[in-house]
Amino acid sequence: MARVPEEVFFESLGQIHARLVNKEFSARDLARDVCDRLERQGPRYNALALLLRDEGMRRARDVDREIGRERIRGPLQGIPFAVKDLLSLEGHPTTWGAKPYAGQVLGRTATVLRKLSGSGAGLCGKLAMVELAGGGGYRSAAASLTGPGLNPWDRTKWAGGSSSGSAAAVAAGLVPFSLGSETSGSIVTPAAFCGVTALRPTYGLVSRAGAMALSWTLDKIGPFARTAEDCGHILQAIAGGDLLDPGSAGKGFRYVPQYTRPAGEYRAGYAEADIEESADEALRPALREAVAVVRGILAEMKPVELPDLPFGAAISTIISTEGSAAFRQLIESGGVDQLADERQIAGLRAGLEVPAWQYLEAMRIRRQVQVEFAKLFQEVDVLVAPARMSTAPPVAEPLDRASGRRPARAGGGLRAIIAAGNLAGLPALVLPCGFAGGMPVALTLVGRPFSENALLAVGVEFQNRTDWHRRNPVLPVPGPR
Amino acid sequence: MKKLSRRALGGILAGAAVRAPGRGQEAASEAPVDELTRAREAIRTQGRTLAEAAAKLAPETEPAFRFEA
Repeated sequence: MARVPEEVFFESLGQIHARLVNKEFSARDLARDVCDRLERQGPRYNALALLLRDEGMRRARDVDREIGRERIRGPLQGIPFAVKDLLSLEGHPTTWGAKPYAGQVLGRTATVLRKLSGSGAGLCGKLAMVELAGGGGYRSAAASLTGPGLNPWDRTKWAGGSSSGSAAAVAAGLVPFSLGSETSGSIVTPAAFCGVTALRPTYGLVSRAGAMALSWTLDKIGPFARTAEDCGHILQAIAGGDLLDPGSAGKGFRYVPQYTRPAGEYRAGYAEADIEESADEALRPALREAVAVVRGILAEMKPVELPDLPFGAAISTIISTEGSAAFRQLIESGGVDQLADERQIAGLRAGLEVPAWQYLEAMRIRRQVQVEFAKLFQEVDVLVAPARMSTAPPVAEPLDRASGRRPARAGGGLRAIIAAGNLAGLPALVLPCGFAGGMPVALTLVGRPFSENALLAVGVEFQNRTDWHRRNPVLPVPGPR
Repeated sequence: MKKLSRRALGGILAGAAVRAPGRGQEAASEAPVDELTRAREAIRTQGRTLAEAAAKLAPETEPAFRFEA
C-alpha cells in the first residue's frame, strides 16, 4: 500500500488521474487517504456529515481493476469525492443538515451520484450544510446540525453557506472535488469565502432528482473544485436530461475547450462601482488587479448596469413561498421548532402566509429579469463582478449583514448579480482572485443560459495567468496512521 | 395556569409555538415572536415593493415558469 504524497490532495483532477494511470499509487490508496482526511480533519471545520468509507473503497477497487486492464477513462476515474448532505444515497442517512431529519434514510440514489459513479469517481462522504439550505433565512452560522461551518483559512471565520462543507472540504484538501447546491448564493458564497473554484450551472442543466427541494424553480447542483477545467470535467459528468426532474432542460453538456471560441474573442460587461463603492475597501486592490487580468484576456470590457428591478424582494418571496410549501408538513407538525436557528423557524412559518398575488408578481418580475438579461447579453458575452463584497465574516457574528438574502437595492452596477442571476437561471463561475486580511477574495463570471463553455474558457485563461487557485491554507501536519 | 402576554397569545393564534414565559425568561421566550413578527413584516415589505414594480410591467408580462436558452 503506497502512501499518497501530501501535495496530491491539492492537485487538479487531470494531475491526480495521471498519477493513478502511472501507478504511482492505487485508487484504493487514494480513497483510503481521502477517507482518513475526511474522518480526521473534517470535524476541524465541522465539514463532515457522514463518512462513506466502504462505498469509496468499493468503487476504488473496481477502478484499480479497470486500470490494471488498461481501461483508461476520463479524468474522474478513480477520483474520490464528497457531496452536500442534501443528496440522497439509498440506504444511508441524508439529514439535509437539520435535526428533524437526522435519522432520515431515503430509498433512492440521486441522479448526479449515479452519473459520477458511472464516470469512475468514488463517493467517500456527505458534507455539512446549513439546515434545509437556509430556506427560511438564518441569522447564525450555527444554523446547522453539525455546527457552524468553519473556514480552513481561519477557523474563527465562517465557511459560508449553505454549501459550507462542500467548499471547506475542497479548500482544506480533504477531497479533490465536491458537489453543492445553490438556490441563491449557496455555491457562490462558500466558494468565494473559502477560496475555491466553483460552478453554478444553468437552471435545468443538472438533474436535482434525489436532492432536497427548497425551491423547485431555483435549485441548482454544481461542483466545487481546484480549477475551472476541473469544473468543466465534473459538469460534463453530472449534466444531462432526466425524466425524474421536471425542471430538467433536457440538455447535456460537453466540456469542449478545443471547440469553444477563444477567450480573447469575448466581450465582457462590468461596473466600476462594484469595486470602488460596493466592495469593502480591503477587497478593492485584489479585485482591481483581477479585473485588469480579465481585461487583458478579453476582446472588450464595457460598463454595464443591472436594470432597476427589485431582485431581492422577488427572490426572497419565491424562496419563502416555495420553501415553506416544500416543508409545510414539517412546519404544521411543529417539527420545525427543532431547527437550530430561530429566524429560520420564523421565516418558514411566515412563508406559509405569502399571498398568491405576491408570489405571482415576483414571478412576473422574474420574467422581466430574463428579458433584461437577454438585452444585456446582446451587448456582452460575460458579466464580471466581485463574487462577494466582503470576505468571510467571524463565525460568532450574526449574519444579518453578511447574508446573501439581504435585499438587493436596485441599480448600482452588478451588486445584485447573485439574486438577479439566480432569478434568470444563469450560470456563474467563481474564481479565487486574491486575499484581503488573509482571507480569500473571488471574482464571478456570469453568462447566458447554457454558456458554461464560454465561462470556463475565460476562467481557464484567468487561471493560466494567475495562481490564486493554487494557494492553500496552512493545515495541520498529518499524523501517523 | 400562567397568563400569556398579548404578544405570546398573538403568536399562538397565528400558529407559532410560543411557551408562556417563566420568571426571568421573558426575553428568551419572546424572541420567537419577535422573529415571526419580523419575518411577516419583511414579507409585507417585499409585497409592497413587488406590487410597485409590477405596476410598471406590461400587462402581458406572464409569470416565469420555464427557463430556457
